[in-house]
Amino acid sequence: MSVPAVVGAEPAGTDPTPSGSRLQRDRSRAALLLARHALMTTPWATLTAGCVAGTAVLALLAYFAGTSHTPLDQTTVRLTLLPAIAALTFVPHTPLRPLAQTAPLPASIASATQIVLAVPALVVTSWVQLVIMAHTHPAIARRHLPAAYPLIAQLLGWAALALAAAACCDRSRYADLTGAIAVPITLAVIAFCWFTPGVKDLLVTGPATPRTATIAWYSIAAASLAITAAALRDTWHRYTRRPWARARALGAASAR
Amino acid sequence: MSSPHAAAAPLGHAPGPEERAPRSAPVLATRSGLRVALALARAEGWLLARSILVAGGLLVAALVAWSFLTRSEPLWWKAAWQIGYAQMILSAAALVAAHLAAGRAARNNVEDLYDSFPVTASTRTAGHLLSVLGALPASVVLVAAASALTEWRGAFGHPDPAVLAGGVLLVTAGAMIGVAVGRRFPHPFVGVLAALAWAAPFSQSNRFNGAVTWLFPWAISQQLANFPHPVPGYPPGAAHAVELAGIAALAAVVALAWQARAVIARAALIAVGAAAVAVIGIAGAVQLQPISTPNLNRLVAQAATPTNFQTCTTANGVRYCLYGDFAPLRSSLEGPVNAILSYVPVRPDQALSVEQATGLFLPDTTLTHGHPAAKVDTWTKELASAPAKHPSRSAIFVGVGSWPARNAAGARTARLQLALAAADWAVGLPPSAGNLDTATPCVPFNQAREPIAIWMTLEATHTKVKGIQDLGGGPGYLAAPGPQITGAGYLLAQAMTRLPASKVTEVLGRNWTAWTNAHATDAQLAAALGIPLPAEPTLNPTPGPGMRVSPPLPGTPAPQVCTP
Repeated sequence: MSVPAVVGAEPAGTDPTPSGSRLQRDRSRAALLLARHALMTTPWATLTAGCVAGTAVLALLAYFAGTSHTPLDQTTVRLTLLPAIAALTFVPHTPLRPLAQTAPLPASIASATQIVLAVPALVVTSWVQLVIMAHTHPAIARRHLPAAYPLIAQLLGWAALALAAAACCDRSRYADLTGAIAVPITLAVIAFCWFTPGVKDLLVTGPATPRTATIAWYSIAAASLAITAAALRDTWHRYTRRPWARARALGAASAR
Repeated sequence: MSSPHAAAAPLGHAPGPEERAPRSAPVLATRSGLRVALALARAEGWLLARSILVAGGLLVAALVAWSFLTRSEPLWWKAAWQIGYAQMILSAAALVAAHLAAGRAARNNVEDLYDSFPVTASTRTAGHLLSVLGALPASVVLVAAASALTEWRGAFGHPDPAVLAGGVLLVTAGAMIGVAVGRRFPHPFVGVLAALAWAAPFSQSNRFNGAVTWLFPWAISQQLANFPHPVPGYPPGAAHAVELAGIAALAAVVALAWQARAVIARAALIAVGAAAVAVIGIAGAVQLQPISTPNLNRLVAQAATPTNFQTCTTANGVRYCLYGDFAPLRSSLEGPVNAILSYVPVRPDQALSVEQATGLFLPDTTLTHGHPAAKVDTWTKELASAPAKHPSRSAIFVGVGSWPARNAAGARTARLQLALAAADWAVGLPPSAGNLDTATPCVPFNQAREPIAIWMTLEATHTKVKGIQDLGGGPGYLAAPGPQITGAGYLLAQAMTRLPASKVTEVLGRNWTAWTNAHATDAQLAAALGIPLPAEPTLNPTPGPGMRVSPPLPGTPAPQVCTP
């Protein structure tokens, strides 16, 4: 196997087939460079804006909840976490992906690293928002708040859905608008799960038991992450065109 | 940014600084700028009209409209605001789509190329602002479709054009905000955040008290379903439409202000912006005005003394009293009642009446803000004297706004509940328990008249119920429920439905007065019909999920047994 060119790597020298240790060294070096690249290209501003915006809205609602004596509940937290979920759709995006594919490491590693880096931000945001929500309740009532595990499962499911939508959009003709297209798709799916009779009986606590909803959301999260992994590993963009547009283009080409 | 001189130059020709512009350059610049703005608006408007985001928003909005409009009684004074719910979804989608369009040049790093064109950035912004007209067809289609649906379901009252126009202005304002934000912050996520911020007050308006919620982009009062007639100024639809128009104008000014460099342009924008802020302020002040005392007096009187405002007619010996706009409702009420009456050999002494009642809730500060607490107390006391707040042995109270329209999913349950109430009256049980906050419905413990009433209901409405909860577990369509249902009575009624109806009718008809007496027991009825008693009657102190009322709290006394 020949070693493809690596940005910043030294020339391969006279030996075109390097030894195993050399290959290992090159890959390690490329991984290091890629990690730095992934860290720098992770959309921190977008992610931070999403996390902070939702938390700020929740803090505002918590203030009014205190004045109107109507404590916040998990439903409000679900709503205010939507900006963070929306920001997550902008994370798995590799600029200049065709170039990245020439690197000796799989191009999907950059996106996967970005996703891993974004997870702590989402976890911290969820924790802060749950704390804010709990503090709108009297101290004595905080022990009797509904269990958080169905909410955590639901948020994980939402995040996984958002990542799957973003990863799939990134492999489509809308790659330059990944997040902008993935956000409405994610929100539409969430709304579908939330309001559709039959579906909500399985996914929304209230009609569904906490255990059922948790299992269902973890299943959705697992399936979504599998789709995300498959989309990230896919090397091709899908420049799908409408059949009539394709036929017209072919006709024009043949006329020339 | 291009200079005004450059704007007058022909397309493709970039004049050098040494070139002198002709004297008529400003006029030509204005004319060509307008032409370019219109051309750009046409192109961008067409893109916006067929944007996948707007189309998706329209689809979701249509689903939301369908969900809200088919859930309850179609009252125009409420439905018009519910259509605005759907418009809010479309507005958020239009905001994101317009933001993406306005920020396209900056996102693609071609702003320098655009700046070399002979039209100014302000002209392009004006084109984008005019292009929001492309989102309006979707909004108008939504209004038309939702209005047609409301009318098809037999709407009561008339639509308020100001509220429907407010929905269209909501979409316009959303798209304008998208352009304003997109010209300055082209990142797609900013548009998403702006849309969420635009929709957040709408989604959380239930957490705020008072008239301040009318200042949100859109809000709706649940009280509207309790009104027998629209109340002038509640909610303030026309003022809200003006407020939305002002927001749209302000967004346009902000969008243009990002690129305005000339002093005159800036001054003009400041003036227009100030006017827009003034309009928003005045419209907001109008919305915060309290509802006039005569209007509230009339509303309370309509709820407290409905007979003064209702039209009563008698059919088949039953009196139907309905508010003016609800006259068409009578036919749907007559059906279940007449079906029950056909099974009743001897009617009770007190004639049955079916009346409308409102669930008006006066501590609502959106309704009573600005009025002294003493006056609100007076109104509250007046409301407490409403007929539906007191137990009745001969009146059934149908809630205004709760009766499902024809073709609605809850129509079957509503018919069942009305029929059961009529059957309760027929066998001597009180069909209305009064105010549930102060009274608990009685329990017909071991009384044969209870399974008879349930049997008549099931037979008359030809309904197969899966469980006791089907008789009253769903939403309450009556303003005051009848007696609680016991498990033993329900099971005996179900056993009776397995017998030929003629046999049961014959047994009951032989001694109707005795069977409808409170002393006739379930066991006696079962013996007379020749069937085993399915369950031993028990005075259940904690009614299960099938009971029509919530179980009493621990420590509270058991409910009273229904008396003769």
